Amino acid sequence: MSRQCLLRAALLAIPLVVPAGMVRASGERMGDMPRVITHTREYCEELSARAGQLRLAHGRGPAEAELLAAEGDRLCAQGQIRPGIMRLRRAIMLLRAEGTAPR
Amino acid sequence: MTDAPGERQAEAWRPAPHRDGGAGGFFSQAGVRFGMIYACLFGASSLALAAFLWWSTAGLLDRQNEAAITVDTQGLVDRLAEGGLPALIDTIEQRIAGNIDDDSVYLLVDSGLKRLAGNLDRWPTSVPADFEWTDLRIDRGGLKALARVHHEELAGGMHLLVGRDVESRVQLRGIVADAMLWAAVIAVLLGTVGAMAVRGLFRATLADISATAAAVSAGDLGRRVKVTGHSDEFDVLAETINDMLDRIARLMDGVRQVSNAIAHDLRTPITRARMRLEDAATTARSEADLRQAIERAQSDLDGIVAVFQALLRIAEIEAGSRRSAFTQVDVAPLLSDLAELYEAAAEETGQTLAARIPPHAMVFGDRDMIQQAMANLLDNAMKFSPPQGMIRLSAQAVAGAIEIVVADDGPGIPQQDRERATERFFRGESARSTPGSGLGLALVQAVAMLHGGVLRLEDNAPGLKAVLHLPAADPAAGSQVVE
Repeated sequence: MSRQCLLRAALLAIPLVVPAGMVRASGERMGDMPRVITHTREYCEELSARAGQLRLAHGRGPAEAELLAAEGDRLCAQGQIRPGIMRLRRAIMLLRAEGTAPR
Repeated sequence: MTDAPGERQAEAWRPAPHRDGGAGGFFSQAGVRFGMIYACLFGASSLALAAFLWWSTAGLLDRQNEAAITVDTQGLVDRLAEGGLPALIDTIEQRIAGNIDDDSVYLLVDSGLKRLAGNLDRWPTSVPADFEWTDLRIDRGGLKALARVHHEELAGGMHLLVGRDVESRVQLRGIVADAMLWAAVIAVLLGTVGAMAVRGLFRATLADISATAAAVSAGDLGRRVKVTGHSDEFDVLAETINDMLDRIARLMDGVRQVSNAIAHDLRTPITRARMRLEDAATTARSEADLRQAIERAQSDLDGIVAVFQALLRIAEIEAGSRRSAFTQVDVAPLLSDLAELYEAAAEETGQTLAARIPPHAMVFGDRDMIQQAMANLLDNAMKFSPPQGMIRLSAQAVAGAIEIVVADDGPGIPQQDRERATERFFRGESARSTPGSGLGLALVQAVAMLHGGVLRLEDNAPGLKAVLHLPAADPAAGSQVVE
């Protein structure tokens, strides 16, 4: 009888134990956490301005950089902040590469 | 009323009731112990494999991440040293702007923890100011995320946080952990099944051995352990046990035979001595008659004592107690002495003894026992050879052994009696009419076995050829023997 009880307890414990691997400490409230501030429309504009400065400094970049910058501006204006920021960052990287490349 | 033997045998291999009763009894069973050892080894192997997998997957990602953060931090510290605070702030902003993966975390604060640059809005309140590495909960666009961050204290009391968002890696680690947990559950189940299989195999293997032992202890000496024919360790064990049982059966047969032989062979001389004494007591007319009867009875009783001495001698040899006194013995001079002695005795009866003995023949053994064994063989040869008969004594080295041969041209021993001729008190048909106790060849056989040798009885056509095969003391020495 004791062996059967042990086996049954072990089997019942499996579903309790397994999700425990997925459980994360989540006692902290969102308001207490530092917030990433580069997911805002303001940062979009900051990146767009930075891309403009690079264009002024190094001249027009490759067509792909121009395309990405324009697309980033458009997405940010439409409220799709993260995709917009991602495209602006890629545009900046291309413009930087263009600026540091030997002419 | 007793149980049937078959039932007793079937029950015999099962654990005793008092052992099967409690939990302690269950774990004291050898099958359970072997099963648990198997399960422990299986579990330890699985654990070691899981640890290695963890170290080479999740652990590797963590180590790579920390290495990247360390390099990033060092670059920023160098930038501060080269260009001052404005250069550091500009570099941080550039790195954030170029962070296509959007996983970097930067925060530069002054001595009052006021933000100077970076993509975090403020210094975290949940961590102490003097940490080096920590896992930091951050709010990334309204979603909770976990970042692995490194803290660097800069000149002027400034603090720099550099980190990476590891939420996706944490999730991956969770998936790996869950997979390992499930693997552990499967390993436990497989280990348990394997342990039960090992236990079952162990019990099944021992069942026949236990049943055989129980049958033998119940008196069935003919029962033997089954040999599966797999030639594995269990077959070796079964064959060893069967050999042991054969040996026990032979010994018991021998004891029974000797008991019968003693009762049969000694009854005659004892009865004869008693009758002589009784006859003398009633019919002796003079002191001389009485004395003569007593002397004859004494002679009969001396023969009985001699038989018992021979029996004790054989028992002593078979017990192996004399083996500790073994030494290197050159049997060549021993055989020469015996040949000289028996040659004279043979001449008296018209027989001839021809000896071919090498200069040296070294064996490792007991000189007295070898001498007695050879004397028995020569006695037999002379006893059974006809007048004018020829007795041959020879020795030679053969493949690391010394082979001593005594051959006569007497009646010999029929093929069917040769195996039994070395048993105690065995006397073949041709030996019935000759005096003797039937212990001579038994003693030679015992001496041969004690020395790790063999006694072979062969047909000499006509006559008997007794071959005593003794291992040479040194194979090299044996090869030097020259006829």
